[in-house]
Amino acid sequence: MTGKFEDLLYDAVWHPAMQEFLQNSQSIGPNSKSAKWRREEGKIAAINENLARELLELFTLTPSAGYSQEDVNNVAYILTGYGRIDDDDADDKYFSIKPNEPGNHKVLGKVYKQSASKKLRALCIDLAKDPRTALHIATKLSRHFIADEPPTEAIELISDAYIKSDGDLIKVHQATVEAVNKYSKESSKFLQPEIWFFQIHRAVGGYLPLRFEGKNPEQQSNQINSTLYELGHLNSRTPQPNGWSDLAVDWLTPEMMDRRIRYVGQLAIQLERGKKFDPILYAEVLFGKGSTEALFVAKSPSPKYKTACIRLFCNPKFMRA
Amino acid sequence: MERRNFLKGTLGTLYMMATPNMALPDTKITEKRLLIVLLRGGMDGLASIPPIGDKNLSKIRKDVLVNGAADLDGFFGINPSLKFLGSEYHQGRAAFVHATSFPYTGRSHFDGQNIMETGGEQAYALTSGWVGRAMNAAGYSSLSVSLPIPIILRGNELNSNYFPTNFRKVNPAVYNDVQQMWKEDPQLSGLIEPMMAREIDLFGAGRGSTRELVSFAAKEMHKPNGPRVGLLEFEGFDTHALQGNEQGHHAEILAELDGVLEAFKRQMGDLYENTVVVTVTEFGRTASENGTQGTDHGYGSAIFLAGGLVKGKQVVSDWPGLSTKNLYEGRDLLMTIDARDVYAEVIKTVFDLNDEDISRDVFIGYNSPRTLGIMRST
Repeated sequence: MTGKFEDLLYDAVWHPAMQEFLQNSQSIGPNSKSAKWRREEGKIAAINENLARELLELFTLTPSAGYSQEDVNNVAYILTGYGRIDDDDADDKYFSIKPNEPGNHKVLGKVYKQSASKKLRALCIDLAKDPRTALHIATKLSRHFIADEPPTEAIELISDAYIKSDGDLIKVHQATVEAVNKYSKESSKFLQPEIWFFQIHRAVGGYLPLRFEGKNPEQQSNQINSTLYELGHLNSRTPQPNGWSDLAVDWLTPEMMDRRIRYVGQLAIQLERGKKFDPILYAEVLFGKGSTEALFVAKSPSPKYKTACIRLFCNPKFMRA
Repeated sequence: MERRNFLKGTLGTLYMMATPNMALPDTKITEKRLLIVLLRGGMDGLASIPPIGDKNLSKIRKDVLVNGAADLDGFFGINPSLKFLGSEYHQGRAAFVHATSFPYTGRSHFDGQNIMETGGEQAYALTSGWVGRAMNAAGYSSLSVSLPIPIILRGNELNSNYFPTNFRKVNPAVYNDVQQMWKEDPQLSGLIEPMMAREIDLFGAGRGSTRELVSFAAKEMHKPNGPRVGLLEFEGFDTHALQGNEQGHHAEILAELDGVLEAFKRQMGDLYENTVVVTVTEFGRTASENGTQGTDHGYGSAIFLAGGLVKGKQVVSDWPGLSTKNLYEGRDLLMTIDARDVYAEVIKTVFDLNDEDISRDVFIGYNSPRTLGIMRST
């Protein structure tokens, strides 16, 4: 997170976990040595283009770049040989020459002529440098931190910082903070359930790993997972293959909102018993003493404590960044 | 080992929708029911409904070649995992469409799933779904059993989702309070009222397996004023590696789907005669096997249709062939039937809409879809 995007990209792509996740570790160049041996045994020898496609689509350029199937194939050829954790001949990036597709490979008009184990690094550098990658990363950051439809100026600010610094992540993050300060209107980004849940936790004095008052560690972790599940945002249940949405429209439904209300209702019972958290005081700190929101929380009718918690945590302002 | 599917098997999510909208005249209300089944990841039509009469199939597939496919019509066979659908086919209550797809050739899950759900010509051009818009045109509000609502169902003025929970309901006074707090908010206003009006509370209800959910949905859909449309979602069709053949990963998801559809039919009882079940996927897969005993993103796939409203015992196809020159870009099964033709016919039957409605509201700008003869005349 403190280096350059090209390093993050390269390290993520060759890493055995990614290789296994998108099955590149089994991909075989059709003209490689491994392919020859496999064919002699009557087995099929071919590439798996999964990681190659995602390297172009999700990690860097996006489909709007208009790369061809041939580009995807050639990226897959460059990727053949990585992820060989059981191969004694593999190098420190778990690259083995045996399944690697020999020859030069052309991607987006550029021919990669480096030796086999050097091509991926060169490709990652080029992809990271591409302004369409800068735009993609800047758009994602703006959408996550600023608004579902972020202002063009915010995207440009981050994207310019990316291009000028050659993808220096510290510079990109600084630009993101700047863009948030400059272009984020108050309460414009509706929080996903998980982030909202973490915000509540911070508010009630929870610490990492997150804990609830008066429960043993095992119960706590189960409780957090089951809460996130109920809120519709448990990470291990991430919808595949596309993942969670960053857009409010995907989270704003009566059922999802009802769950948040119910959750705060349950949590309030625990908090009231714990006698440590004062929602009225917290509202004053968060919204400002004498503000409409703070007064609204303070004037909660009976059951006062529970209503105050709901007026605080389900407040439209609290539900947004 | 299948791509990105960390959890065992498939994750089934169930959506139920289209309760009659009371504000509209009840002449619009139909007793017909629709179950949409989303097959996420890109379903391999050549493994589910293998064209056993095409001699190229066994040349380009090895580990993923389905053996022992049961014959359907002399040319197409059916994966032995699809026992129920196979038997329904022979009883005239199931049909298949092959070499079909939305006209999308980009091979991206994101873009492809967006197109299959929005029904748009391009990805991200629309923010609502073709089923949601169809219900709107027919005059239904919706209720889906899910967290959260998928795009395909959006497009109704009043859209709600519903899924059993372990959180206890708060008392009505709290809802009233929240309603007041949210009423001026552009995004939150109106979201709490459906919860306040809801009669059943699914606190702690069975929410384990897909079969439990589909049975629940069928029970609700079976009620005279129950939901008209249900939606069921399967993941795990993105079979880049170790796809399997008549056994293994792909066959297991098909078998689960098959069992779920059988359970659905049982619960629907007589109403099954007035029902259509139809599958939707973002694309098919490569005709040839890849290097990891799987298949990569492709183009043409197959659609499964079942239920009493289906004109069964037919595989509708204009078969493009599997030789390299007949494949799309030399690698994918070609699309010769636009999937929108299939869905338009289903929608017209279930919602009593016409071609004009389809072009205006459902597949916007798609004029005069081809009639394939997959529905019984009602």
